[in-house]
Amino acid sequence: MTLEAIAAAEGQLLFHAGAVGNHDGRSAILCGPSGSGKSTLTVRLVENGMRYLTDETVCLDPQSLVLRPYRKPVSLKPGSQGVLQHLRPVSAHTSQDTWLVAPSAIDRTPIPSCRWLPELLVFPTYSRGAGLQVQRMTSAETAFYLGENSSRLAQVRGGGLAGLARVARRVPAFRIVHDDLDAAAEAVQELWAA
Amino acid sequence: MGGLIHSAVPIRSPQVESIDMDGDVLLYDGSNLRLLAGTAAIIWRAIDGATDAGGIAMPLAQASPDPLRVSSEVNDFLEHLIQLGVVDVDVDLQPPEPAYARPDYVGFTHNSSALLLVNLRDGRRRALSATGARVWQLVIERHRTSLVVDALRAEYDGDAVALAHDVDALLRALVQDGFLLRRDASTAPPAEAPP
Repeated sequence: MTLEAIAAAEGQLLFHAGAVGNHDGRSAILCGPSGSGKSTLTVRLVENGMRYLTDETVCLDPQSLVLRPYRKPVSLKPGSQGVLQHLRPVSAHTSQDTWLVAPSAIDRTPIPSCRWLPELLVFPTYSRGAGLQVQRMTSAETAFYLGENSSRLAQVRGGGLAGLARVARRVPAFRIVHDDLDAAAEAVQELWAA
Repeated sequence: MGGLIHSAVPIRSPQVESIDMDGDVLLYDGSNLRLLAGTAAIIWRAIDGATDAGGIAMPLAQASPDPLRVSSEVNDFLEHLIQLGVVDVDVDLQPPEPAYARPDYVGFTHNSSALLLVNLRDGRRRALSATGARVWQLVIERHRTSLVVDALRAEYDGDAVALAHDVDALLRALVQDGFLLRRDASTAPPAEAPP
């Protein structure tokens, strides 16, 4: 993150997550630890027509829950490169390299200028052979797993626990376990449309 | 005596924030986030700084077909919360244990199978089994439940919480029936059983 972005993140809720949006300010957050497949799913949702808002770190105001978009290069690990070969950077030397894919390679259109509010929270996990499993989470589970994937919680303005609870109570959350990227993306879009 | 005694009063650690969410509880101590669900959440909510460990366990135990097991599990969980640092036991809040004494008008005698207690005032009698007789002997020597339980743990295998529960129940019954006097935390004279 740039120094400006870091300064802007003071007191904010920071989640290890990606985010995509539609055209009128509604957003979906894809949250999870490294290796869960959230970046891969973020990219596929953008390819399906969503707007790319951010990857790696989602920044939410703890009171209003407004999401601050921050387009950065997307990190694609070797495990996900097979399904996104078309995004291979020219600078990638070996198949073991993590690809840093420029935002413009994913979404050329500028981010619409609006208040981005989360409407959907997804905790994806790629698991070979798992099929597709979608499970609604309780608000307590949501807050807990958000907390597990957050940083600087003690510095959140108004209290980290209160901030987590606010997100969990307002935003429906789902756990998605999948072994197919397209099926997962379709599931996310169906949940969002519901 | 190992483990959390029934009369210990657990208190929530002051640095821990907690929030109820749809029946579950989230805890945050500035470093760690914890989720308590189901019975764990019920136990946390019962930690009010005034209710002792036995009082926290009682409603859960009474609702269970195996109350002693549930009491033991609640006790174990409270100890776990203490180890996590989210619960303390404030020794200043611990009420002094009551003391028991044999009244002068209660006699006792052994026969081949039991100890027989006799209340010379009203003629009531009670026979105690071998284990009950041992509890009787210890309480008139040592006067306090915890000391009785400590001695018994060295003589019998078994769960400490269950043992304390059984000893406490017997001593209360003996007070109720007039065979023991009980002196509580105040300096008032020992409470006597009703006529």
